[in-house]
Amino acid sequence: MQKPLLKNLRTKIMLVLVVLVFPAALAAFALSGSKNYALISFAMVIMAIVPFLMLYEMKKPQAREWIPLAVMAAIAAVGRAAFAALPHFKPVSAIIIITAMTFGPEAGFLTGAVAALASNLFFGQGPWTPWQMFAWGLIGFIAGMLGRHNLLKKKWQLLVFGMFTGYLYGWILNVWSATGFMYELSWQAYIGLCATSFVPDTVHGISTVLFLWLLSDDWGAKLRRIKYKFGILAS
Amino acid sequence: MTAENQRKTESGLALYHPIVSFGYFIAVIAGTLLFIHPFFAYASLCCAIVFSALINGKKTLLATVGFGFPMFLMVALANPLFNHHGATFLFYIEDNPVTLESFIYGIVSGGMMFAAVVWFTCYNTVVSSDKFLYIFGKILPSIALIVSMTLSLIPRLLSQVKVIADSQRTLGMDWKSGSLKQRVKSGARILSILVSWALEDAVTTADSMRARGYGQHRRSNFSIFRFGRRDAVMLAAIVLLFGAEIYTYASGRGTMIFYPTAVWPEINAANLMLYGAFFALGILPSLIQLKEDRKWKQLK
Repeated sequence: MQKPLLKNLRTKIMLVLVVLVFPAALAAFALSGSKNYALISFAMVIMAIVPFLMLYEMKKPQAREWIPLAVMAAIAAVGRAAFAALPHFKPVSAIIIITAMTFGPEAGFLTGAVAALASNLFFGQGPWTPWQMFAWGLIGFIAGMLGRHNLLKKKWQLLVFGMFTGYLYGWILNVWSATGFMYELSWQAYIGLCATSFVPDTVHGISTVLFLWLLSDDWGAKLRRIKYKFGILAS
Repeated sequence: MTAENQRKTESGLALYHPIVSFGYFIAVIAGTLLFIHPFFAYASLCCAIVFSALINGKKTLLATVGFGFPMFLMVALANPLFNHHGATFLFYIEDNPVTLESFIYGIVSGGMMFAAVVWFTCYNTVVSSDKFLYIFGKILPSIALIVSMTLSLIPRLLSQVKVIADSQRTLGMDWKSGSLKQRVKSGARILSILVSWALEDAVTTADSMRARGYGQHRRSNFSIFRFGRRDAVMLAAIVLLFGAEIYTYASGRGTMIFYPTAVWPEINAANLMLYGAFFALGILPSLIQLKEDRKWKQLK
């Protein structure tokens, strides 16, 4: 049993790096008075994603636990491709929310991040990939948290949350635009960006609401059935 | 993919070990984003365009420029509109002063963004998804496996959805005909069947993987990558040039002062050497590619 121990140690070292060393480096960078926001924000978003994945890795998940998540991420990616012709009209958020409601916040984050990464292998990777991974991961995480506290039980709650995620996604990606494009960050500039993205975000929100309305009962039941039938993620 | 394209994705930088090619892109994209400096932004952009033309072909390059150039314009114009620092006043737009310095900054940071986008298109060609998974399989094995499963599921889902749609049509549930309500209903039914099938199928796959001993030993890879001498030489060169980048950044030679007035960087021997090091890093894969292309033509 030499290897698993070593592997575990490596993961732990990585976790220490992520939790202590990288943020310290980042703070030093910020204190040096650098104005390179593109770089700082890029580092920040990577650091927001990596600990999540590390924690998941440390659990040594069984194939049974994560395979349904891979399926849902793949369906989300296919759905994104199917509606690619309609700008900002995507079923991805809805599928992630439905998955997260059944499997919890951690699984929700993972499904969102993997769906973004995998679909971008077809749509093209770019500096926006980590931001999309983070945005969709966060949507999954919040949906899982709300679901755990029974806050998405009623249909209207779910649909209101779905509409909100359209804006949340846009606001997160606007941080990328703002830090990548501007020298002096200001709230006015950021709010200006959010104002220009209002219509696309609304379309995204409406599409999420539509897909949630159409699919949530049916798919939710199927996911719960799989969960109980095969005893997955019994927590 | 034509035979010529196939050859391009299997030559030059793509033939090196994944750690070398992945490391190369980290070094060159980090360098592009690290320096807000006219030389670095535009040297990087030129190198990226040359390399993209060599490996992606003219058509893909034109598509990239068609996407990247409007983005460049947006960045170059958004900065002067939102940012009013700088001493050299040009004109007013709706009571907002526009300065020369914010224009210069916009053009430099726009070029930087444009370069990063072009480098990413080269990355997509050189570092195929199995190479990406090979690297991340070492650090995050479970996550890498989830991504690779997701990728392999996509084509399977697409073929299965066709099978389901065909069988549903024989039952009169054709999503291509009837009223809109009927079509949505049929479509939702097809998707619902797809989800059931995919989930059950996936759990069976998981059990079968376990039965075959998945997780007992280190996982093998589809492609076999060997780290040879030329990989070591190339990696050493990349690390050396990346070190020069870090030095450039730490010594402050990679940053231009824009505000209140733009201070153009001095041209002296030390600066020229550091610029040269970055340019060498940027042009390196194109030179390798050109050398191999020539050899290929001579042998043909």
